[in-house]
Amino acid sequence: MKIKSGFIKRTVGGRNIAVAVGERCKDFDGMITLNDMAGFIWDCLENDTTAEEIVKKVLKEYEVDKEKATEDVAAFIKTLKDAGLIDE
Amino acid sequence: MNKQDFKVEEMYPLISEIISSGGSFRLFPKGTSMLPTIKQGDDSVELAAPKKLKKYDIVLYKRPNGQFVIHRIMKMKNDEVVLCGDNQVALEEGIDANDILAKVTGIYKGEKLFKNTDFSYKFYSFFWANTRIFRRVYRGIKRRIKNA
Repeated sequence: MKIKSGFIKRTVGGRNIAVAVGERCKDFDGMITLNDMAGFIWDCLENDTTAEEIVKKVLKEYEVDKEKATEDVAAFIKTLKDAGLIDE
Repeated sequence: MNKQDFKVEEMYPLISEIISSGGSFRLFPKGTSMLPTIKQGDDSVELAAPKKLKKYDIVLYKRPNGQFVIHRIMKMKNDEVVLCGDNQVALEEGIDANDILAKVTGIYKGEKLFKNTDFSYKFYSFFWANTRIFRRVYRGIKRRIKNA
């Protein structure tokens, strides 16, 4: 799975936010504020990947246990899926 | 809905990127100068590239002092634009149309979107833009009563 084309992540006022550009604005006119880890997961999803691979990367980058990381990754992916930002 | 607490100054590079890609951006403006059309906290505007500007359009403009404002075009002559807030009396003259950064293509009153192509939107714009003279008289009287 990966982030659909037309969605971008930018830093505004020191925070990560995700928005739509171009034609994609017709489907999505909001913006999502991403915390540090969500921003990291977003970067992973820029290229085709799986939840397992993302969890591995998160474990390398952050000091969290596997269970918590798996939970957080799954929750954030669900948020993105519900908002229609992910291609399976 | 996310109530943005970003400053327009911070947001602008992103807004610019989005609208130049042909997209639109929903902004929650701050301030009172566009009351009753745009109420801070409740209402938001849909911004798009400033194409085909005309009289009564609401636009995003950056003043030479760096301040961003969302005001209405009251007059247009060639490339010169005159702006005024819906809640203001003084005209802001001598603005170069090329310095207009974005155009409001719709207003969200809460979650209800009024597009600038709707008849009710056009009618409202025309009506409100022509109440400036009444606001001027009203404020003049108010000032005189206060000072009397």
